[in-house]
Amino acid sequence: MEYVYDGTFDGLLCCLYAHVHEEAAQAILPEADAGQLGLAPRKKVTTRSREAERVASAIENKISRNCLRRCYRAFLSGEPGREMEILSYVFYGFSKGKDVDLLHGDPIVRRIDLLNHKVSRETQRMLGMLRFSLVEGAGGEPLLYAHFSPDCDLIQLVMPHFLNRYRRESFVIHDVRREKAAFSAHGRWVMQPLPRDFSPEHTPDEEACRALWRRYFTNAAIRERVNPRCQKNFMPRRYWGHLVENPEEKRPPI
Amino acid sequence: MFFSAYNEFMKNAEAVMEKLKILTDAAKYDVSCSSSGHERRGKKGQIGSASKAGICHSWTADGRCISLLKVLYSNRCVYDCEYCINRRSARVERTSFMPEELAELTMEFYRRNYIEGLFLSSAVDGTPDRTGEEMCRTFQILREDRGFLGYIHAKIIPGTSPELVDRIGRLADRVSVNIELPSSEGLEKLAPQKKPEGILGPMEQITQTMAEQKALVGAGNRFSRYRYRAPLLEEEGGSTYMPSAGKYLTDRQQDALAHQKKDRFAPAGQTTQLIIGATEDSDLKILALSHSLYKKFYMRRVYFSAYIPLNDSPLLPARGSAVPLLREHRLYQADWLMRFYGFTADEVVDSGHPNLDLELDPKVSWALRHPECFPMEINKAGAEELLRIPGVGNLSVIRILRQRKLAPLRYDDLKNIGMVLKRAKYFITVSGKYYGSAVKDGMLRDHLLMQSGGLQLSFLDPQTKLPGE
Repeated sequence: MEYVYDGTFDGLLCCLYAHVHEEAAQAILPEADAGQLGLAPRKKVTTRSREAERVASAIENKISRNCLRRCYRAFLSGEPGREMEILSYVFYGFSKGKDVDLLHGDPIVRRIDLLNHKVSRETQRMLGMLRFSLVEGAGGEPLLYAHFSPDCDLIQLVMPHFLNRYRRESFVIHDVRREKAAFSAHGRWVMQPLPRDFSPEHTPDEEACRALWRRYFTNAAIRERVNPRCQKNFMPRRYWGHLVENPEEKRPPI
Repeated sequence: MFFSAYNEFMKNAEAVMEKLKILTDAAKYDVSCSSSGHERRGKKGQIGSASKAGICHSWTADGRCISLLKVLYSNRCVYDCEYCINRRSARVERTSFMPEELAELTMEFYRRNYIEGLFLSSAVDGTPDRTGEEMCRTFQILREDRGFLGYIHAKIIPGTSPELVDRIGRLADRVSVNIELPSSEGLEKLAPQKKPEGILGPMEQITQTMAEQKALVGAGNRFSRYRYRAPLLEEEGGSTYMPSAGKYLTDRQQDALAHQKKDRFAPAGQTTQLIIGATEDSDLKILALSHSLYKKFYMRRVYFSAYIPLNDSPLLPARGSAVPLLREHRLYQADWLMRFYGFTADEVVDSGHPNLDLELDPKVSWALRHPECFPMEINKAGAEELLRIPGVGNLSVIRILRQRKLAPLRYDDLKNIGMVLKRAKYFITVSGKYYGSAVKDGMLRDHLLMQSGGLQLSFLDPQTKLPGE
């Protein structure tokens, strides 16, 4: 059976439920990709929170809480085909118990390790590479706005960091690719859809501050050590569009 | 809240731009830019936090990360150190920040998430204390007036008074005194106005204050670190002498004192920097010095800065001569071995080999010089032994140990674990079996060179031009 789900983590857990209680899964596809021609009969799985919770607590109790967390993070990676990899991992976990994560040499565990690594690495990068701008808020109070389009679906993973850091600011983080944003004020936050082309108006002083940063960025490079390959290794080109600085900017002659 | 200060700052944005340009250029040859070593949560009504692992915000064209706003407070200098671009006799534009405008600049960059905090150093404008006071004033404005909880790295100018070092240390996360020249002869020749006592004095004071707060964590390896040990401070009949209190205190009194003075002194520890290639000092000398700094002062890190010949001086390499980037890279690798792998300086280099092999990384070189330690059995060796295998890092060791609890490792598992097998396979056995291809005695070095040399070198090939120039 090929299962089609709604693209949420709960939906995926319901597929695992169906895998046990109905028929074994040969493939699990999110709705968005379900257009492709399948080989096996196909079924749409309805997301029911009761079933999702049962699977989640089974993973927690029979394997470990950490295992559930690793499944969730692997899911956020957005890699195509991760659904079946998570399924194999979970059922391998049911057979091995809480020690499954010690088996680093095993290809199934290794794959989940890699997906988790991908998500943590991009999260760590985004903590540094998000750029906030001061924009005109609705109530006349300026607020901080940042946009990005990460490979992984990770707004909720960077939020704790910024909530902790900006204790006296209101801010918005906009995932342009997924057309949604996290809005925070007074230590609380909500996720809302936000269209791709949304771009709020900067406050009058914003440009001056950006210019200062660009100047700092360009001047901090040491001419005798220039190494663009090394720069791109650390800061891949696909992230450059959301920065304030231009990593390739020419430096004016001294 | 600080509207007037902010408006003032924005009105002067152009003047600030000019200063920023000059004082960034003046500061960029200091290599340290890390924001690591201390975890601090945000507080209500304040702004900022610190992350234990540090956060990089951008990477400049030279591939170095920007974590902190790294500037000099002033580049007006009374000293005339031969190697320095800011020395008195150099013809460069001179300027200084004002504490308020620098604090404002830091705040505006910080809230936009451009930086993790401020790295402030300075030329000696007048006297070390006069300059230090101005820097300290900047930190005070940030911490006390603006509620800034981000990272501050303060450079201590050699010769700063103990009282001022103490005040700065209680505002900053990390402090550092730069040694720059690895020997006192070098110092005398190239920086005659700096005295060794002026450098070592503050260093010792910093270590002692941290020892009093029981906050020293030294280098070592992940599995057994050199932790705080009392002998750093004088002991008598169960009491320890506290230089700052001027008396002997029992363990409990010491805890109480640390608790009472809640502003911790330099919680992210101290570091220093050495210049590589300006003098004739060998790698042995440089690494032995670093090793003793780790042991004696519990430095978090010793930075190496390849000397870039920017000055015309008969005492230094000529302007335009090659920058020893590869040597710097090898020294950092050796430094890593000392800080995280439990190696000592005399294992990495010895009087027979006073300089690091530029072609191979220092761990491989060490392994080739010690065939008696290999091959090592992956399923038997202890953590500290495993760390010595080329191609095996801290993470691999942790994973090996974890899996061994459950099942012995097979050769195929090792790749999944993340080991670099193309190096490691010549130094290990897996359940008694050796998997390295047969390499004739004495040919292993050439063999390893052939397969990894190209890659290791190309990472560092610097282009002499900036993009678009």
